[in-house]
Amino acid sequence: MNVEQAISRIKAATHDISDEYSNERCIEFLNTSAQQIGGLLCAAKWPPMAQEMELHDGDRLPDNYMHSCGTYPIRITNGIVSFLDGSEVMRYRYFSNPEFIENTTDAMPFDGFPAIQDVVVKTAVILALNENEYDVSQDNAIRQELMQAIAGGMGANATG
Amino acid sequence: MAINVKNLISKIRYKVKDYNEIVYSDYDVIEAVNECIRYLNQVKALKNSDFLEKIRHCVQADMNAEIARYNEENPDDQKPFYDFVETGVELPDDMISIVDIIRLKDGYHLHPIPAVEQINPHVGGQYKIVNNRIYTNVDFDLLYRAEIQQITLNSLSDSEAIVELPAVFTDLLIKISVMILTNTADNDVMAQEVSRIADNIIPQRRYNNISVRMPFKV
Repeated sequence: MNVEQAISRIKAATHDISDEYSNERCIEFLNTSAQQIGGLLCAAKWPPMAQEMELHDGDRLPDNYMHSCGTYPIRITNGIVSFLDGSEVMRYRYFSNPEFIENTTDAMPFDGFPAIQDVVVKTAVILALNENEYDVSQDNAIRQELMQAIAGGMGANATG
Repeated sequence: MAINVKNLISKIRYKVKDYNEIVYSDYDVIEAVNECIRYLNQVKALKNSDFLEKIRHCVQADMNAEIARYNEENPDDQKPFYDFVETGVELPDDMISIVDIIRLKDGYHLHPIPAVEQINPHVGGQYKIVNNRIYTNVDFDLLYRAEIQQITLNSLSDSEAIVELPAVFTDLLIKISVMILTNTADNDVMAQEVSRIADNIIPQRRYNNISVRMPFKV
């Protein structure tokens, strides 16, 4: 799914016949919901969210960094890393949130995981409706169910 | 028959279900193994087992020849020459305790003299240990009980890297390392557990029947 498709789904789900939500607004909703869900998945240590990089002494932490996988002999101050063990380079594994969406032509975050992308769109719809003071409790319940279904699937595969 | 480090780490990762390297970094696992090795060294330190004894040959002429070569290649970093009587030889870094010191040429067991006395260059068979150095007037073989060396991050990329223990210790290392990784048991509990498992594996007696002469026997 790309962002364009996601936006048309948001517009359809909110019955946005008067084009009330601009594309930019929809991207904001999508970003907020993707970051929220990414945060949950990182906290659950879902392996596909893990990233790996070569870290050097004095490097800045990568964008959207959440937390490292385990302990590393480093000290982080204001986003800058300093090594404590004297090595020059380190293979560093960490969790990070997906990149922000900027254009309608971008790929949706969580590429290859359509179930999670569905939840992202669903959450964006709730955010959009909530802004117009619709009653979103029913939608929220559905979203919770989707999240639980994902969490259940993760539990079966999760390794830690 | 030693334990391969890569293999050991992989087994520990299996045990904690973390092949994805999500919960524990390599650093975590290696620190846990090293902690386990340190406990094991403590447990093993005073046991009379011989599978970790090592021999170091000390031949003054050979050692000085090596230093001469080094000094020639590194004019800025001159090392002093050895004189076994005057300056002595440093003890090995991995030494826990001395088992025996024998004269190289005939296998005679050297005997210690009080540390305040000087080695008599005309009397063979004396040695003294002071300030982490051994002084004597002959070339000798030092038989000592060695500490198990800890592993480093680099040993993970080296498929030849080993822990200097017989393979029967693999499960001890795995079990204790996993306990260290997953539990917060304090040091005493951990040391007791290492001791319990190690007692099952490390023989209290030597494998052979050769009697070891006490260092003070004349």
